[in-house]
Amino acid sequence: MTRLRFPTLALPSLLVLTPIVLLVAAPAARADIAPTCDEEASLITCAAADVGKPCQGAGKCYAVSCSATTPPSTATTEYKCDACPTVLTTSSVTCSAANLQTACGDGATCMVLSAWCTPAGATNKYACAMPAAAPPTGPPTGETGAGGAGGASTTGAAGASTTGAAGASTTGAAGASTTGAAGAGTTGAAGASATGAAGSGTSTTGTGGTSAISGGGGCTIGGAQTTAGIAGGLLVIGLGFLSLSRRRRPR
Amino acid sequence: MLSGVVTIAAAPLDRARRALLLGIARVPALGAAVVRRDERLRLQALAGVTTAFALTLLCPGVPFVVAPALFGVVHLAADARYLVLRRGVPHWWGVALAAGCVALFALRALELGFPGRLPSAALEVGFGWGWAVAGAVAGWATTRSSLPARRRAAALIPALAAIGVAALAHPHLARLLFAHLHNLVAIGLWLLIWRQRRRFALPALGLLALAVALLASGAALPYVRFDGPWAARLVDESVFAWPRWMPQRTALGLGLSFVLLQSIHYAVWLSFVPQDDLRGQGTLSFQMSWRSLRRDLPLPLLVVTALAAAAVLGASLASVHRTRQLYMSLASFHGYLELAAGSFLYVRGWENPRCPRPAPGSSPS
Repeated sequence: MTRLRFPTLALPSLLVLTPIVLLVAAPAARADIAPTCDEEASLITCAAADVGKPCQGAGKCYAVSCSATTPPSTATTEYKCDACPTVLTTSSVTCSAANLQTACGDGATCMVLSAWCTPAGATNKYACAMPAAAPPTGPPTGETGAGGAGGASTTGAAGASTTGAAGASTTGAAGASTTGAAGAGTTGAAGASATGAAGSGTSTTGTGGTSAISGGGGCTIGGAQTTAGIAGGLLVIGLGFLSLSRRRRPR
Repeated sequence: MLSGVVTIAAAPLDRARRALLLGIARVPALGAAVVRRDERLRLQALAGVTTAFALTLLCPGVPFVVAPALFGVVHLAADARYLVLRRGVPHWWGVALAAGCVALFALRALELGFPGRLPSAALEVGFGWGWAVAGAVAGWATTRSSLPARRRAAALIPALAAIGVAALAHPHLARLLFAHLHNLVAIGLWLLIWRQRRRFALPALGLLALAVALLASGAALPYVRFDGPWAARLVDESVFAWPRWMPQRTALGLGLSFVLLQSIHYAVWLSFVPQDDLRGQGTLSFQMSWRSLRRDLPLPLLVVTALAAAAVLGASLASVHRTRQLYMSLASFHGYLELAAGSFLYVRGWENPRCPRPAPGSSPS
């Protein structure tokens, strides 16, 4: 094998610096939160406790099992807002992979429904359906956490709590909580939470609760320092190999 | 001892091979294919594309699932063998390539082990394209700044860097696109590095382009049998791999063209390139292939390859989709390896300085 002299420090420096420069050159990408599943990356994240609740704009919060595609391939559950297509049950067209996106009546087309949009008990995920008019614009209002447990009231205002879970109310205002979970209101205003990482109230028909701090549901990643650290670590491995390769072998 | 066992085991295979070749040589239409590499590869590539296209139409789930299980690991070894070990690259660049593979493999392993905790897509894309840029610079460095190399480097480096930055803006989409496009990188490298008389590859390439166009456009969808094994899985993974703006019909078409191109990708590394890399026109017997393999690959690498191939095959029998996904994820480093090693060779020059090939048309051996 042709053995050339190792070229100065310029080449190893470039080997190290180029990927870092590329990373630094794209701050938006560095801030990108890598989801478990690439294909769900574009969907808005909601909280586990918000599953089934309406998201802002349109759609609902679903539990999404990510195991389908490459890459990556870890089977985990994420919580995502999605607006599912409206399935037309009256269509006479049998949808399949072969006729995807062809018209099947009433302005609908044949499509593949995602697992979480497939109706329970359905055996076929191909359906004649109309895409949702608009995508969700945000997580359920006052996202994160379950509704409060204590101080429930059927018709009046539910109790507030400073550190614990606030009350729920069926028709009135739900309780507020300073550090815990706020209450849920069915027809009235839901509770607010000032710092609750776990909870904030929601309301089915009234005003949703608010939370000063966004809680769970999103992926926690490090910032630019973490990214640079990882990139540096990977490159140190490479440099280790390079320095090993420079050692002369005994002849 | 291992060599002795393999040599003994290969003897009956070689006798059968010799009888087969003699039989084929007596058929007037096929005789030239036995003794002339260009003719052989023209027929073989055409037959390969036709078969892969037919399988994609008749049972798309089968090549989608079976091909990586059978050929995945060995084609990684072929990548390393023909792009690095047999190309006469400097030792330090070979080590840098190995380190890059280890780093990208480790990154994927981290992503699998700690999902959602790292900006893995951005890291991978940044590292991979940065590696490709480093390959071009390394190629330039080994030529001691010759003018042609400098020109090639000046053209390639800004292009690679621009693609890298663009990819970093959408890292998830970028690595999905790269998973599809890297199949074409293999074909491009075969034509540029190994295929001396490219017109012999044109019939197969024309058919391949037509097949990909029919599949990707969705025109072939009504003729695809989706009731075969694993086809439903292929539909799911194809359609939901893409962001919502991608029409489902197009996504499925791209998934089917991926299946076709993946098969051709394996054929390129495991059959076309090994034949074109030989000095002579003929093919190697099994015993000669084994000796050549032993010369190229160090025993530890050979053992690791054999164990990994057996493990993937065995695990596929237990959990076929999980194994395939794991393999596809962990093996994604090889796409960037092809890119980085290809950049190096493009700038330095394709020819192996240790072992220049005979000119096209030299007498068969």
